[in-house]
Amino acid sequence: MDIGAILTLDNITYLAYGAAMSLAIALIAVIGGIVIGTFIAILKLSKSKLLKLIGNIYVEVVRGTPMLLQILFFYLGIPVLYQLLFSDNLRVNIYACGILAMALNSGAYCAELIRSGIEGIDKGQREAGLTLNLSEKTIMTKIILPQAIRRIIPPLVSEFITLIKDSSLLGTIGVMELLNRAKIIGTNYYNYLIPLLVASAFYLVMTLFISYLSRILERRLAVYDRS
Amino acid sequence: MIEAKHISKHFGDLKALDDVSFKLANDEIVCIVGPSGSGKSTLCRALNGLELIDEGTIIYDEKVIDFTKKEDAHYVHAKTGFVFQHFNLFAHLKVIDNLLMPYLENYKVNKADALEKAKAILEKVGVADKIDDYPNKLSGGQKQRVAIARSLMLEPKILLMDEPTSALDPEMVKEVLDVMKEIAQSGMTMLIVTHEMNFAKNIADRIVFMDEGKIVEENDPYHFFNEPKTERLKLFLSKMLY
Repeated sequence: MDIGAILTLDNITYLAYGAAMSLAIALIAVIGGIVIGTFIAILKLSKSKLLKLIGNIYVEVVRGTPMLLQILFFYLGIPVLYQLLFSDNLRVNIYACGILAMALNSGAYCAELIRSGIEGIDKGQREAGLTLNLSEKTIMTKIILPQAIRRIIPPLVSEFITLIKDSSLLGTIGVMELLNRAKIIGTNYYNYLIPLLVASAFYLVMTLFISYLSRILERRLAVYDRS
Repeated sequence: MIEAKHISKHFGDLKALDDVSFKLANDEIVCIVGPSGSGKSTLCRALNGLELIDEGTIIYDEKVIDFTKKEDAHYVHAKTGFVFQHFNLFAHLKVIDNLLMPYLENYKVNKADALEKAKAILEKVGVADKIDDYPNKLSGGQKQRVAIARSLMLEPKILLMDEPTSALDPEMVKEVLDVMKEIAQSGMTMLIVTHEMNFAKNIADRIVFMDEGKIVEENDPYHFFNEPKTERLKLFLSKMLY
């Protein structure tokens, strides 16, 4: 086995681009997930039973089915639905489709993180706000959210890391992310071991580095928790 | 003036307040005592809308208050201060901002004046050296004094205090009682739920004894302690006093 023949600068660059793509996909998906998650969390926290139910159904459906299925649903399922409805062919962009599926998936997990972060704030904080004649809006924006956000950020970073790894599922529909590229190199050289090891190294560098940043961020945010 | 007429509050099967009628006159200082679960905290919280009553009427200055209505709640919260057993300082705000944020939300004033006022009040309760600390750096006694300062900042006419010293280490009780006494002497109308019998005896115009969701007996401190009328209060006092 000639390791040097596989580990050329070209191949490593090829994989590095894949890593960058995985990172970019995960970043866009997690931002989308946070936006969707915030919206779903508002539904789940609302007083209306109907809105609560809609939020719950969304979260249960997304969390109860595999992400790969959700990705395939958007890539293969939606075009069929479009054909039925509009009698026209829908050409889907695999990147848009993959990122959308991941963002919608992440939205369910983010919704739970955001909801539990808000509900986890001691109810005495709200009561103090009420007795100090503050409006519900002020209580939410000046008391609850500033405290909740600091608690929510660390698990959202974990969600981002999960999405970096899950972006490998998009290789299934042809997205040229890191794992897909490793497999292509493996096919070219009849050797999967080396490219898979290099891909692992890229994933680890990304995930460990982000975990490290997250710990620093956590320490900064928790300034008022330190006694 | 606050008046509660025949108010009741249930928590599931438990009757926390059972047809309670109660009055707090202007400039009066009333202490509520009683065993745990007697409904004294619930009464205090109900008067400020923190518990919504199931039956009865709450009246402030001849105005019937419906706490589910925003304008009624604001009417009450603008004139009352509330001090909690567990302080409930805003954990993410420094001591000074615990006072400034609610004040600046309530009043359109310039920040420099507000800052001066906040510092003066913190000075009065003896925590002026802690203004830039976060609440978690303070002792229990300091936290409660900051919480009292925070409610005084809004210049309430009436101060409701729900077991303000119950969560404190014993050696910190006095520093908080001293502050409360000073406020009492300044002429504030106060309702204090407490277990501090000696404090109640010294400070109260009237002491109310509650048990099982009802007001059992109320009287001025002298008669309350020396000539209790009901067996229930006699029993309670015999257990509370040495």
